[in-house]
Amino acid sequence: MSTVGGIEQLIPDSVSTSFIETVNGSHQFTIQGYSLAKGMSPGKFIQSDIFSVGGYDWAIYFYPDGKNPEDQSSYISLFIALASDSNDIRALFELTLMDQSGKGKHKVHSHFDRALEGGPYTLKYKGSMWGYKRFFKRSALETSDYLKDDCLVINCTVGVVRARLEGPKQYGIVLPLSNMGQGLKDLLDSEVGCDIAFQVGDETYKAHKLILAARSPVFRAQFFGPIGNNNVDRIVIDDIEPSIFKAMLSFIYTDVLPNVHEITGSTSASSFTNMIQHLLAAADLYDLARLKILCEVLLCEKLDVDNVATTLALAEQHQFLQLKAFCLEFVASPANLGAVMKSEGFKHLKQSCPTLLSELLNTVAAADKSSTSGQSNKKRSASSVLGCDTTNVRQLRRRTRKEVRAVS
Amino acid sequence: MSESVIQGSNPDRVLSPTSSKSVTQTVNGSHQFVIQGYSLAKGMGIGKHIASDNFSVGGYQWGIFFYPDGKNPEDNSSYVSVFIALASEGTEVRALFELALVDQSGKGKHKVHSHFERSLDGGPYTLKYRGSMWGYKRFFRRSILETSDYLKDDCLIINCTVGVVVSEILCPQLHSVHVPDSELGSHFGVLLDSMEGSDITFNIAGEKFLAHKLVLAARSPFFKSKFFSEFEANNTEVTINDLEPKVFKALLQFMYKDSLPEDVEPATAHTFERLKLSEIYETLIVKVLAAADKYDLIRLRLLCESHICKGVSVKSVAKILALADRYNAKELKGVCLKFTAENLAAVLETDAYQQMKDECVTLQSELLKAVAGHEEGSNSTGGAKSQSVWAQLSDGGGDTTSRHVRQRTT
Repeated sequence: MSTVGGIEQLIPDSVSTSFIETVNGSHQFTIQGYSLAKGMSPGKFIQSDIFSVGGYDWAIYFYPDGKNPEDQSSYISLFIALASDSNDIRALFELTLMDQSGKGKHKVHSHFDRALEGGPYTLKYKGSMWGYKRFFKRSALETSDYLKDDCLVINCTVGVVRARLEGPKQYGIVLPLSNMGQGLKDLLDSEVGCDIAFQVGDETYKAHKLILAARSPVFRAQFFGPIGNNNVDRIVIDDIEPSIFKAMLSFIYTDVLPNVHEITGSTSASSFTNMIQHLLAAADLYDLARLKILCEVLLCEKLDVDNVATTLALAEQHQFLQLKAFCLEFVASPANLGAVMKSEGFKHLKQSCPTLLSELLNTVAAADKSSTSGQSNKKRSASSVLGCDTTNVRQLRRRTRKEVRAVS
Repeated sequence: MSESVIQGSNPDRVLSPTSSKSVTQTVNGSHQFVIQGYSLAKGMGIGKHIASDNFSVGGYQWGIFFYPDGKNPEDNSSYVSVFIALASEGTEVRALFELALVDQSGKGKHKVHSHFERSLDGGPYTLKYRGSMWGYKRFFRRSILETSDYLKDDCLIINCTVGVVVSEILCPQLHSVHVPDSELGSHFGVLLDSMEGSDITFNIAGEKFLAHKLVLAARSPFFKSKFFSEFEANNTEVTINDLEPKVFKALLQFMYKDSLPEDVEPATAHTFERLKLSEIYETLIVKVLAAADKYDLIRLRLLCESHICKGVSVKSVAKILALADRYNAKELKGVCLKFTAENLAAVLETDAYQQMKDECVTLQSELLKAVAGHEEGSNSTGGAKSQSVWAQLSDGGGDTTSRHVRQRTT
């Protein structure tokens, strides 16, 4: 699809249209013998036959003495009623008293061909009606062209509202995501065809040499390389924890990270980070490029002042350059630097990776240059940072001299 | 659908020292929902909605819900509401959304509500289960809408974009880590090309193919039982007589690389219009479809169906329907029936249909069902059928507390 940007450039991947329309039908109701009908009393009606429109049944109700007693039979009433057992039917209506003289001056009340202020009318249940209590003044009716030979003719049109959905113009089949990893994972879990067992601490994990070799250059060399041992069926792993090795195996077979909390059995943030750090080291050992990147992403997400130093040390040791850059930026932030330097990890970092301190200084300096903070704040911040780092630089120099003497 | 990296905040803005940028990698897709007949839609009642057809983004199905009288009773029908709902099964789906009411005057003053191009203070939105929604109860004031350029010829147009989150990175500065696509296919592709460590030979009409039992077993229940049952575990050569070498090669490519081979014919409407049905049965893609069915390679069958689907047209659909029926291609058959129902008069006039109708009587009854389902929405006189349409129109479903969203067959 196209890039999301201005709405004018947005071309949708698919379109659907909802057509809200009416299904129309009409019925003619003839009342022969009007003079005999009148005098029934208010509220009494003559009902038409039932007719069907839009899947529902309807009937016309004619009240010769009116529906409303308060009108004292001055008006005739005309209604259209829902005759089927349904709820909330929305419709448009038209009721027409026909001019029988041929002049075409019909008396029309209609929803059609005019603006719908509140939308169509809703008939809530069987027997609900739409129409007029005062459709026509009776005295005027009896001397009009609507009454001829004691006969009235009423036309009724009903338009039932419904929605029709036109689906996407593209006829496509939705492809599920690849299940290649699941098939391999089933083999791992069921141990079908396994030909290698790894002894990791107290745990034993069975696997397939071919699959390990396909996924890791280190395993490929170990099982199928010219100096590898093709016939080995058991390998002891002594530098990786069982849970880490299990997670790595799961990745090798599925290409996705397993749920880390399931494997560690812990939900604490620090154990999560610790686990990912170890998994990253294992990924490096077995040259699993994608697993390394996934771990780097997770460690970046979870950086905090307590764990950044150990993560930075790990990144330096294994040359994870992107992760290292993230960590340096994080530590160099003025708000983080003081807190990081108080952490246990940082003390260890100073001993194991002294060259990182000079890189950290460079990062702080670069951050200062790009800062837009006020002059006085900058001075104070720079002063405090320089104060700390000066001490460290002195220690660094002294240690270097000792090393030189020892070598000579 | 393509992946894109969308930065969550303005890169020119100076960040406070403790903040970090949110960079979300999303799979994006969009859908346009046209509502023709707004004046008939309004007045249907508060909480009643009109739903778009489902569309697919990031492996999930979505639907747009338009409430002409608003979703919230307290607003007393003063506003129209618009929501996007998760229409397929899924828990904790994280996504970004954009809803735009299109200005139909040509001035381009669309009404846009968007997660894209602005800071995500709380991160992407999480849809907890099927039926969860994101949107606005007060999307637009109704009285203003009805006199605005958004309503033209009683028609409203809503554009919707969904960005399903596939990974999220919080990192200082502008650095971002690109997570590469899955490498399973390419790694086993290397294995296929080199055939190092192969342990099985297939004899296909005299041509030999080397393979690895483990890979085939992982990918096909048929081969898993063949190679790892107690009776046949030691075989080193298998002869298959009812496949052509090029078809078997395509099967191997799929099992190792999870893709169709490059030499499969392009599927265009013209291809299927031009060929006779007997000639269509001889194409590589159809033979691979048949083999996928036989060897229980479900995803390969879907890949073939999806490929053939591109060739559906008025003149070709009858032939494709026949082949879908023959090879149990259910998804493809459904698409053909739907297409035919919506273009019935034109399809019935085609030579392809005339040839097909005598051979496949059962298909015609299925076609009648599809037509009945289609015409129910246009001009039905049956009470029972209309009721389901009304249910669709007036159903209050899709509420945040409801877990059920009506799902249409694609």
